[in-house]
Amino acid sequence: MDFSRIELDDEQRAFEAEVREVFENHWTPDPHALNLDHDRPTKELIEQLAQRGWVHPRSPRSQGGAELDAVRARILDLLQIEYRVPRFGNDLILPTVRKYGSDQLRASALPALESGRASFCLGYSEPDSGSDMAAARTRAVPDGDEWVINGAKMFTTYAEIADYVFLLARTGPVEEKHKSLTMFLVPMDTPGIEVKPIHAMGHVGTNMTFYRDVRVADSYRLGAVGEGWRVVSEPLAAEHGAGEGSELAELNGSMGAAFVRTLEEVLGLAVEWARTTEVEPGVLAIDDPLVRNTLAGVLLDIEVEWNTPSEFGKVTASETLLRDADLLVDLMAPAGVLADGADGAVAQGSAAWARAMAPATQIYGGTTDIWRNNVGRGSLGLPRSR
Amino acid sequence: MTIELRRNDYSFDEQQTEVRAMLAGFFGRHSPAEVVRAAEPLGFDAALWQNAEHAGIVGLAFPEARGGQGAGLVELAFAAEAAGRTLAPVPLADHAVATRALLRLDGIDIDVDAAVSGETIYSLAPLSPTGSGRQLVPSGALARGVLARRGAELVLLRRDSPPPQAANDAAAPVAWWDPADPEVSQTVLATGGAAEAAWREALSEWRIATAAALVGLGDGAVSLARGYALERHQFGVPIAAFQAVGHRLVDAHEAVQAARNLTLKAAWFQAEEPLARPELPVMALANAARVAPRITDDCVHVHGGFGLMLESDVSLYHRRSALWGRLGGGSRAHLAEIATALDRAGRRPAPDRSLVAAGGA
Repeated sequence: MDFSRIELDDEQRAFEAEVREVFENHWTPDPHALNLDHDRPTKELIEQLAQRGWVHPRSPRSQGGAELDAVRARILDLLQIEYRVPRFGNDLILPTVRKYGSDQLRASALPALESGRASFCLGYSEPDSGSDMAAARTRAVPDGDEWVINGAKMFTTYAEIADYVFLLARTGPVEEKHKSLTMFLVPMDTPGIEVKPIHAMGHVGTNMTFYRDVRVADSYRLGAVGEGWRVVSEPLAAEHGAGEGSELAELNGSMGAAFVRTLEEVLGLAVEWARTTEVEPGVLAIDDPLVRNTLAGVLLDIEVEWNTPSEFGKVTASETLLRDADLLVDLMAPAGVLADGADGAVAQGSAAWARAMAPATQIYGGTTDIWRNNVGRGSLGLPRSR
Repeated sequence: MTIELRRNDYSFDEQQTEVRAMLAGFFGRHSPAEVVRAAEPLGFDAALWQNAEHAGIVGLAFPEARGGQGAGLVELAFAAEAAGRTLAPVPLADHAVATRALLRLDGIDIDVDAAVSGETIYSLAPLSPTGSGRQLVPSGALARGVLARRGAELVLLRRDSPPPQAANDAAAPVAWWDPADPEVSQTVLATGGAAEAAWREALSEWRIATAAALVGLGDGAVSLARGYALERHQFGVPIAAFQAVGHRLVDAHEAVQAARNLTLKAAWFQAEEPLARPELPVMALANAARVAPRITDDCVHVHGGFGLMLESDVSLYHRRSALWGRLGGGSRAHLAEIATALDRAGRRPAPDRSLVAAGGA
């Protein structure tokens, strides 16, 4: 066990200064942006990061990375948080593209994906298949050395800016379920793809995507025909927090950490409210025992989240965010219900926004119920549940 | 402004893994449910306590120079957790913390050997700063010396024999210690700043050790519930296959993991950098105290009607989970103290050089 400080040497401090300069010169932090890990940086900043290999900083230079050691990678990480730079990257699909992509696909797609100049969206869920992902019906039919894709995908977040969709398609009889699926990496500019925005609560944006006679060469296939479930199992496992973290990273996984940081932001704004608002004449909220008790409870919840293992981090972080965001709306009632920018809004309307957005966090990357099923089987050896 | 980097390594080294295994083995072997039941209602098994002393567990975290094993607070937390897992009827955490505090003071007049061996049991009165009257002391029905804070002083209250147990459903050896009791003598151990520092350290260690015991209790309860749910068949399947049951077990299991991580992190900081995260000990206890009862609620529930019966081992856990975490006060007191850390929960500071001030990019 070791939680000691790491004293940075001159070279590491110089690296910190270098990163700061890039952010100072190419980025304007928006203090009102709270849903950071759902946003994307500007093209300008993406280019600056891509040039330096900082989108996938620990990857080899030959793979578009910067070969940063763990300390420098963590410095970059912390500065992205400080400068409120949305985090993004293609690590979720890169191993799969390298392992299963054709020579042609690797040559055409990898450079831009590895540098971070290109991005992807996930074509997993459909209107009729969410948690039961293997029941996908979007169909890819072979035609010569091409495939013709027809169907629809739901919640294809980032489709409006992505260069590729990482697509799960049905290529055999539906009855064979897990054995008749194939993965593809389909360029989003292929004719026949339509992106239709979906507006969700809390300014969360996603899309439905439609595929009408979308033709792709066989070289865009990832892995063998019918092997799609096996191919997608690795990115799925990575999304479910089964990957390794470094000893410098948060314990609760990237999604859990993101949700907790959002709650920290809202709490910070609520504390500022408490310091500047009277609950009764002459009594500041921050001095009221019930207010202190409530705020302290949220602070405690946050600390517990930082100590939750990554296999479960996103579950408890999402539920804590939802519960505590509403608690803070209640604490700051009635003004706490008002939206950012409204006359009389408090805490930047952040608590009201957070409780509207938070149900989504219980769905991203698989529902919390699926996560519980997985942890039950994986960590407790419980039988497959129904 | 520059950033601070810290390691975030929760892993155990080889020695820690061995110590944890030794402790689990000892209590697993010597403190089965029969031993726990036989020790009720007082909650003390003298033979087990002696056995723990011979095994080097009582003295695990006392200085080698005084006859202990020389381990630290983290290992003490391991021991409290292991004892908690089997509900071992011995005052391990309370005695170890109080004795460590006494051994850190110079020139005090106690029989050190009797303290280190556990022959004389010590404890502390965690709420003594809040009032001058009698105190409900953890392990107070076993102790002959209790560390307390009285005004600006740190005192040792002593009795020739422990006071009677205050009846409770947890078979916990708690008792009232009253400074005004003619059978209680009082020795001043320290005053002023020295007293404050010594008390703060003792209280922080007590909170961590108590949190660790609750982590063990929770872990033991989950283990029972998981085992039952895998064995018990209804509607043709093990009840663990039903999500209503399985999901409770998952939540309880993960709550134990998070509570353990927080408690051990608190132990590390208290031992290595007590000024860096001073709120962690009370946070560890506050969290453990509130999740342990919920965990045992669910673990009892998984057992269905069998969980309600006094014969069920899981009922032993549930009866204890409400008491162990409340002897230092309840959530009201814990949260009031955590609130003092709110000053540090301000908004993340803006970058050093403002773009606005510099005229933009």
